Amino acid sequence: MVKMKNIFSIILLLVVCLSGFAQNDKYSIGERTADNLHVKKFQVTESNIEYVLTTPYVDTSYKIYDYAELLTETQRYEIKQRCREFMKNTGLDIAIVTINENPKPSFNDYAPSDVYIQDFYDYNDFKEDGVMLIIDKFYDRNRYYDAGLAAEMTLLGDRVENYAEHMKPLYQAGDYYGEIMWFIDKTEAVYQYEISFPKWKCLIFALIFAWIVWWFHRKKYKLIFKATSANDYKKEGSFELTKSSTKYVRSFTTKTYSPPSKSSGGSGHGSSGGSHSGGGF
Amino acid sequence: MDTTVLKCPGCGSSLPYNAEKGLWVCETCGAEFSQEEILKMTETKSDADIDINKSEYKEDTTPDPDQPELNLYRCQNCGAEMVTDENTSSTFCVYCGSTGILKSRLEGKFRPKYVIPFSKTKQQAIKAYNGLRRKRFLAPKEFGDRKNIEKITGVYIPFWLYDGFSDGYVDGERLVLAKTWREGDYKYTKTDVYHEHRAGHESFEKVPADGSEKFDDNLMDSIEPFKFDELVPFNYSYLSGFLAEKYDVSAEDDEGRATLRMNNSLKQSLCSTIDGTLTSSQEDIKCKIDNVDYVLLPVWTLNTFIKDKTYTFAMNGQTGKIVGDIPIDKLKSFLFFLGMIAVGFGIAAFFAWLFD
Repeated sequence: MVKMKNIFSIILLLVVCLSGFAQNDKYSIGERTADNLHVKKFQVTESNIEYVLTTPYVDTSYKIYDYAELLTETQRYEIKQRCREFMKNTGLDIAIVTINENPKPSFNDYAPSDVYIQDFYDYNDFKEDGVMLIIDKFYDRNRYYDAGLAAEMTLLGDRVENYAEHMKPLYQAGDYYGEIMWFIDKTEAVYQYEISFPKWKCLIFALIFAWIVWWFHRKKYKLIFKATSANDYKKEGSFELTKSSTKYVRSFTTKTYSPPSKSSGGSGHGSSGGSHSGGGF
Repeated sequence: MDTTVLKCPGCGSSLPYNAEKGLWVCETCGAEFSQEEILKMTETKSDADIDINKSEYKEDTTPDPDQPELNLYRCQNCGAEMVTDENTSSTFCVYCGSTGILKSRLEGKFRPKYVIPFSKTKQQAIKAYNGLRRKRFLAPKEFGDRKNIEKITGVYIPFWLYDGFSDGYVDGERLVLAKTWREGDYKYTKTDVYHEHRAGHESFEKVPADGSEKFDDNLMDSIEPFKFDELVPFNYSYLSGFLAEKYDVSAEDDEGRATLRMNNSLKQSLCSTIDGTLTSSQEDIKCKIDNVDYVLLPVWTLNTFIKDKTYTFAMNGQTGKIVGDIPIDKLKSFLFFLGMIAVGFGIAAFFAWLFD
């Protein structure tokens, strides 16, 4: 009887484990292998193949990938609906990911989340233009990513601090749903602003354009210049170099503070060139 | 004081030099005379007899300390009085248009060795001036005043031509980027420093410097270059139909301008042998002047008065190069700027729409 209980317990444990595993892997639509990497947007080379293989291959229609299980089923549903709305309103793709373990344990990158967020977006079949948020419970921080048009518009790039300021309190309070919704709302609002109000950008361009044209045109009004050389009056062939020497004197080394770009994790191994990642808190 | 007027041996009218034809053409009967014919006439007959009539006139010497030094002459063609300043050596009679050449101001040390005759006519000068205006629509309306443009005048301006030899060296340091590398958050750059030394010499021929205080040095610099292979020995007859000045800045006083230009050119020649640029340099270049010639060079000039300011334009009478600082109308400039803002906004909006 005891034996039966033990067997039952083991089976139950296996079921729980498998179901848990299945829960975490429910977004996956296949395994990446060296023969079938499932990468469409970027060329896979020797330098980035390891990054591809350690990136989950997911169904991009989910939009919310709650690996850390920070959200309820209802919340995930609502976020997914909101993501679809966001896509409809902006034309951008979106992905929200939560993790609670080191996503790239085999790499010694200084910022695994930064690498992961780019790889997750770029090596799956998300649209070229889009944004992504990762809530990283392992490193206890958030990361943002924008790609394609969103990156060109610096949709997130210049606003990271502003995002962090509003999202951190929600994160600290454990209101991940609120945090995600705020991210989507804010990004959509920013996009709408950028698209709807390019006038000030046009005006700045117009002012610079006008000044350059005006300046070049004005130059045409000054035709008097002091002569400083007699090159027109050189006696042909009269120049003679009587002595010429070049001597090495010394060397010096300068050192400038120039930290690697936060997006170097992505661009270093072949991900999107037109993208920004990093920031958060 | 002597004045001379070049007259047509046929009808006695003025005989100005025609830049377009390169001949002396009578304004009344249209008779044309070549350079050889003019020279032959002046060689075989005295100035007073036929071609260049010579008369003596008394100078009005009443001194007036508040006025610039002016001299009064009588036109020997019509008898009218002509007023010139102390440096004018050829002028016009305002009544009959005859050229009065003040020979005494073109003799001795003031006799030019060479002259470049005018190749560009007054009409070509006017056309060139109008060309300036067409491409510069911000110029004020007064800039195109026809009556004023008609006042464009051909003047032989005194120049010194220096032949010289510059000799010296240039020393300096040149930086070469050796390599760059990164360690952590820092970027390192290794730079090699080389000491460069170049010495040499170079000769220059006929470096011009105008010898007239009346004309702005930079204006005269700007109409260069002249083609000095067209220099011809000086003859009074070339001045017929034009104004002429005599120098009031001596060759010694002007020498510095020419030697500075020669030394700068030698420095450029020396530096051109260095692969790169010198970050710090010192030089010792000296110039020795071998020869100086006094010449008259042809220039069309026009003074334009706009809002109490005088703008002087000059055209090289040989090559046609025209220079001068053109005034800008503030209102036109402002409207142009606004227009460019509108154009820029349109371009930006178009691209915003295109890439939307």
